[in-house]
Amino acid sequence: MTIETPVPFKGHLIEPPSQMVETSRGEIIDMFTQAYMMRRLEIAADVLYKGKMIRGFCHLYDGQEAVVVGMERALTKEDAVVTSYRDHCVHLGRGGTPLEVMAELMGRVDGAAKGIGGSMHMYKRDANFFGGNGIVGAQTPIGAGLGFAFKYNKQPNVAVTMYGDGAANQGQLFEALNIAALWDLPVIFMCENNHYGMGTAQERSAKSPVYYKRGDYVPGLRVDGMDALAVKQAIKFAKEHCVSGKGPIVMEMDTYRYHGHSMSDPGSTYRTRDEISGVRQERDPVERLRKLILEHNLLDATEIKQIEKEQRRIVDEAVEQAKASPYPPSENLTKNMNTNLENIVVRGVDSQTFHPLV
Amino acid sequence: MKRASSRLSRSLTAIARAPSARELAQRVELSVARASVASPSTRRSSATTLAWTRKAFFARSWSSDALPEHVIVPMPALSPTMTRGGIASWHVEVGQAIRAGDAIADVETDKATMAMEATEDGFMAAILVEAGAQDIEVGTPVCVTCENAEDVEAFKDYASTVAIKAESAAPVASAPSGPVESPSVAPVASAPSARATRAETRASGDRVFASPLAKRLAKERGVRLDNVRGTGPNGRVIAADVYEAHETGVNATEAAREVTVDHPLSKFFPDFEDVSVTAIKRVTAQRLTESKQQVPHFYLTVDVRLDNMISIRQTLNKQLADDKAAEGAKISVNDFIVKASAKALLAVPEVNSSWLGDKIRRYKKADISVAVQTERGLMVPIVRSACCLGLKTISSEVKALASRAREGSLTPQDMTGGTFTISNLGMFGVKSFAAIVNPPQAAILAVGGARKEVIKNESGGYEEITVMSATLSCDHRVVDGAVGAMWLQSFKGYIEDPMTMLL
Repeated sequence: MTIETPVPFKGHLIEPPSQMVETSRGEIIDMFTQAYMMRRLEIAADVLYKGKMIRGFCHLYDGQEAVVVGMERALTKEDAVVTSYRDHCVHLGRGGTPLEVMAELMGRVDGAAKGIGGSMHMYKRDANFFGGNGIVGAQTPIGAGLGFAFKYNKQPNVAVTMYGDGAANQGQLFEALNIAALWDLPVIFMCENNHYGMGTAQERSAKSPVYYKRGDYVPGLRVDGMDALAVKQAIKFAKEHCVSGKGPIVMEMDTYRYHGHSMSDPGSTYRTRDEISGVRQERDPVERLRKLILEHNLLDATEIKQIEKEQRRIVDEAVEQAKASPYPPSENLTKNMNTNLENIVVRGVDSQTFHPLV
Repeated sequence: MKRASSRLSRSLTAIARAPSARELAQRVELSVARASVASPSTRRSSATTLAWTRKAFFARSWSSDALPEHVIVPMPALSPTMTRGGIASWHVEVGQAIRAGDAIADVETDKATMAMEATEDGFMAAILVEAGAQDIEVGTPVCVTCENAEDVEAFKDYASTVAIKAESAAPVASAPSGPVESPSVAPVASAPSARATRAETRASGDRVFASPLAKRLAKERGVRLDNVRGTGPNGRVIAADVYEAHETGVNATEAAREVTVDHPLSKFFPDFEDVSVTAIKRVTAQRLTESKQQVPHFYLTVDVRLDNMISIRQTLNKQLADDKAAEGAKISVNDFIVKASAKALLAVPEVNSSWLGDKIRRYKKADISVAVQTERGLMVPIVRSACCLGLKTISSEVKALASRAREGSLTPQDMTGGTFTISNLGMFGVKSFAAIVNPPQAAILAVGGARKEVIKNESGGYEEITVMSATLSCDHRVVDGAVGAMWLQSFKGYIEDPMTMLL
């Protein structure tokens, strides 16, 4: 079936794709199921954090689910994805289970990174998900490198590197853009613009808050990031563009996060609650998918409720299992490290002197 | 496509595998109906059978109260270091709709007051903790939300059941007699001894190492840090230790109080109710005891004729009533007294002084403290520079201060300072009384009620006059008898002939 997305794409140095998206009943229902599960998972993480079962940093993705859900429809597991610390749902999109995410958040051994990474360092190598990066913007040169690997190995795949509107001002992003454009690397630089870099609104942090045009010589596309189908269309279009050797492309996903920057941020000191509830009512991605299902009579209301109940149950089960999961054993502390320091020799002040390390 | 449909079918079959409680109940009903039809000899009324099985089933699958699906919301840790908090206020009432992201309550954390947000849409079913409650541990249930508006009714008694459970636990813990007390008394007894030895090892002059939070908590609760055993790094006293000490201390004093109730002397007194000592009462008690014990008081009384003052007051008030800009201001007898005292203090500055041990400080202006009785206790706000203010200003100042005192919104600035105090009990019909000097002030004027007296006048006849008694209590370190008398003379002069206040 074909559905028209309401918000038109905006292109920079490129013809934007059509607003008519090819999709199917099963796909929409799957997207809704996945988006709803992500929403429940983030809410569960919120509750657990407030109950002190999750400690440390916790950056929640609720409100932005459409980006991942739409993106994964257009990519395969051979394509590479790398993102920032707001990675719980990206991990789920790449094939991770809710148990992996929950256990990792609680620091248990069943987690995505065996409990040593936490919220910001989820990883799934077999699905080409390269994390989960804590340093703002550091994933952009890594994304360029992943694209370089694909080009080098002559693979028809694309690397998607996701960053936020706050990271869009990082110098390393422009370095990555330069080299990707110079060598025509198959990289999609996806800016998830949730309009607030931590607590700073985009108008106050960027002279040019039109992030899809920031690539200058790199073509760009602006997408309504709350519409999963629009995202799917855009990524499909971008993948074709990159894989055909035309070089990188910058995408700006116009999205919104309901929670604060992280769990330490109430999220209401730099924006009004009315704004948040306004977006929740008008542009909520999960609601949009639900409306789509009801409009096109793909399922009726009770069936949707069943799906919701089921996803809720899955998340609750994952939480229980994660709570029951043990902490990593102490051997894991040095498991992947070289602990044999005996024969290591360190050079001294000149080329003639050497010292043992210990 | 194949992947999508298989996932969908998997989720649908998963749903089919786990029937809802209602479906299961229906299946039970059917099987019971079949059973009752099959064996008529053992048939009970099918209705009661169904009712029994449904209730029993629900009893097994949900709580025994068979409440609809609900979420018990615990006290959230809104800051990483928060262990306890208070609910400052609720923004939602029982039965009100909640949307995800709405602020449902204000929570006082260890750092600031922050809003607690709802995580999903629903309705407020029950509020378990009152607004203003303090010291709620993180994780304690504070409210219950449910999905549908109709379900709210079912939670009407939820709070009381939870409260009853809590209450039944509490008396057991604090009962002075009974077997429960002995095991808890034993650890309490051993803990103080351990703490005592620990306290001994710390020399009495040593600085107690405590975290800033622990110090603040100890101050709030009146726990002496010397006696608290520190379990933090390097033996530091941390917040948990203060809580523990406070709790065991509270239990100890409770036990002690129970002991005095059982003391034989209490038999000779009637039934009583203990009222806790508030901060105001404590401070009043301490300062006045100090004053009475350490300040050498003496008392001078004078009768003041009020007739002139009363007529002038009436004239002035009539003026003010006509004057639209005055906004209904009315000058009272007390305002005259304040002004007269202030002028008298300027005339006899020895009384407008403070004893500072090695010197006497004589103030250049008179700030008059006016005693106001509120339900919370005696408060004494100050009318600054009363000597330089007109009667109208004094009147509005005093009215404003009195109303703020009764509301309880007086700031410490309002109550600190003052060079002289006036206490008026005339409205209660008191003829005269002697007040206690408020150090560091040197005197306090106690004014009684106006009364009519008949006196012999100059022409040999009799006339009726209005008088009031004023008693000046003086601090003999600063004010000698004659000085006090001179002040009273000056005051009397100003009241009996208010026109002289114009000079």
